Order: sequence, then C-alpha cells, then structure tokens
Amino acid sequence: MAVILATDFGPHPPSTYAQATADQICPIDASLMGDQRIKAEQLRSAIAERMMPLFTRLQEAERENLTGDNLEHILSEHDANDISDEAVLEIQQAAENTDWGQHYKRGEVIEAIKFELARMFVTAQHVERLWHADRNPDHEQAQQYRRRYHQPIEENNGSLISESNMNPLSLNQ
Amino acid sequence: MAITTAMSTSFKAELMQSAHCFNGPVTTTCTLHTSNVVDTVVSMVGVASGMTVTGTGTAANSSVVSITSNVAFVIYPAATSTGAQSLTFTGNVFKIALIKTGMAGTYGAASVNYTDITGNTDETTGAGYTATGVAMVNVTPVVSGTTAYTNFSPNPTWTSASFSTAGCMIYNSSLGLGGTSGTNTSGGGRCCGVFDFGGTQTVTSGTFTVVMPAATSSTAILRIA
Repeated sequence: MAVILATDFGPHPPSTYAQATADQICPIDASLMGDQRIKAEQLRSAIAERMMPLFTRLQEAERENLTGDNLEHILSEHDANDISDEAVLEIQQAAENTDWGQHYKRGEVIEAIKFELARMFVTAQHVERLWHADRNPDHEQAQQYRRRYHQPIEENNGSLISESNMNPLSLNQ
Repeated sequence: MAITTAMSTSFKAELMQSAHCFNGPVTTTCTLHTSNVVDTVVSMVGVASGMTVTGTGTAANSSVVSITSNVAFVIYPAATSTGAQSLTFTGNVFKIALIKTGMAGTYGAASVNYTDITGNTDETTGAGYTATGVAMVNVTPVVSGTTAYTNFSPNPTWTSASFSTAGCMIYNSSLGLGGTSGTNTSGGGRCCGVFDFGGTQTVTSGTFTVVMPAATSSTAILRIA
C-alpha cells in the first residue's frame, strides 16, 4: 500500500514524514484484532513520535546547508546513513517490552527498515532542495538539481496524508 | 473513463526482450585507452549492456555496447583519454507521469506507452507539474525468496504544486527497444504499470509526494514472483 502526501502552501512538515514512516515500517495486518491491534497501533504512534524530532533536525540541517555559502551543497549526494542508524535505535527502543521487540532486532528486519528510513529521510532532503530551487530561479546549481528530476524527456520522441489503493504489482497477479 | 492498477502486459514481453534496465547507478574504476575498449574494471557488478556511462574521459552520450569479459567492456563512442578513471554506470531513466481527474482514456494492463496518456490529453496540468512527469532514481533490483523486485528512491515529488490527479503511469523514458510502442513510433515511453490513487488527490501551492510501497517481496512497486 502506498500513500500520497499532499501538503498545501509549503514543504511537508516533520509530522507528515514521521507518520508516513511509521505507517511504512509498522504495517498492521487487517486480521489483527482486540488488544493486539491496540498495542500495535500504540507502537506505531510511539514510532511516529520518535521519528518527528529526527525529521525536524534533518529538515533544519538541510535548510541551513542550502542557505549557506556552499552553493554546491544542493548537488551533493543525499546522505541519510547516520540519521537512519539513529532512527533504527529509536524504533528498537520504542518496541522494547512490546510483542514486537525481538522482531525489530532481527538482521533482515533492520536491513529492510533502514532502507525505508533512508528513503524517507532522503525524500525530505529532496523536497527541501526542490523548494530551494523554486525560490532561487537564478541559482544555477539549484536549477541543475531541479533539471535532474523535472525535465521533459526528449520525445522523439496543514498536511494531509491520504491512503490510496495504489497496490504494488506482481507479474503473477 | 478509469484507471485500474495493473502491470502493463506489454511490459512483461519487453522484459524478455531486454528493453528495460532498472539498475541503479554504480561507480567503479576502469582503464580507458582512447578507444572503444575499457578494461581492468575493478568491479563489473551492476554493469549491463546499454547502461549509460559518465566520467572523465568519456564522450557525451556514452554507453556500454557489450561486456567482453569479467573485467572489460566495449564503450561507444570511444573514450577521449587514456588511463585509470572512475566511471559511473546508470540504467534506464524511469519516469512517473500523473493522470488528470476525469480522464478520457482507460488505463490498466492494456496500457502500452506514455503516449496513451498524451493521446487522450489526460496528463495532469497545473503549476509545478512539467509534462512527462518526473525522473526517478533506480534502486537496483534484488531477490527475496523467489521474488525479484525493484524500487526507486527518493520518492517522486512535485513542489510549488497546484493540481489534481487521479493516478499515474511509470514508464521507461530511455530508448531501449526499437520499433513502435503503442502510438509511439520512437520506441521510447514504454509503460511499466499504471496506478490508481483511489480518488482525486489535490495539492495547492504545496508539495505532492507519491510514497512508494515498502521495498519487500510482497509489497514493492514492481515485482516478479
């Protein structure tokens, strides 16, 4: 299940990223009922809460980097490794003493959630860079960054999170 | 008309025709010879024929023509310098185009090409949206159990955006296969899949992001089981 994030009048706030991240890495099976469901929802909320300061910090750092003297920063690689490691620890702490404490310590689970965390952190950096490019049309490096993503192909040729039914695809569907 | 989330049927056949390369960017050190031969490649992992090649000593629009050994490949056009260089290899460029609400066409497994959208004048329009959509960064396909899947990161995003949309098409904007694809005689724009957003999604002077499903064997955006 994918989600659409749509925020009017500016970039997504940290709470939007935090909730989307928690939804992504703490999926709750529809068959889960009763107390178990409540506990799972509490864990997801706890994860979202712990993600919020991380997204706030990342967003602030990216804005500071973009407004500094280093005009090349916008063209540098997105970097979310350290903050993703930190986020994994936060998730493990949130899950401690719950039914899912051991789950979030498994190697393959850590690897999977690290990818999702990094993707969301990188997306937050990406959004900041795109807004920076929008606000600085004369800034060559910023426009270069924008063109990487928003360029027509040569054709020879308050935040809202809404779920969509954009289901993943499989060849055997 | 309507959008039905589906993998394009033509895409399945094109995979067997080597028409799509989802490999993510990889960088490795090689030796150039002011010729078409590139050798002493430190690692060939993730390098495939047809990938674009960039780096000091390469000509514009260079690509891998063929892989000749586990440490060498042929490049075209010929390298412009000699010596060890760090080169970056990139797979095809996949784009995501948004489909407007109240679309005239029908989109689903039978969708073949991006021109299916433009032919019906069904592409989203509005501030912050450029026709053809946005390019995505490939994440090299991986296998889990018996399922292969691929992904993109970061999530595709539009800023300073004011538009409404009902769904999207992921398509290959690179020319990886000759011949006609749907109504597109160039061979570009081959559709991978179309996705229904489950209703009208609207943004006003803001940020619109399509969050890709989790990259797992049961949820990733494009999977072959």
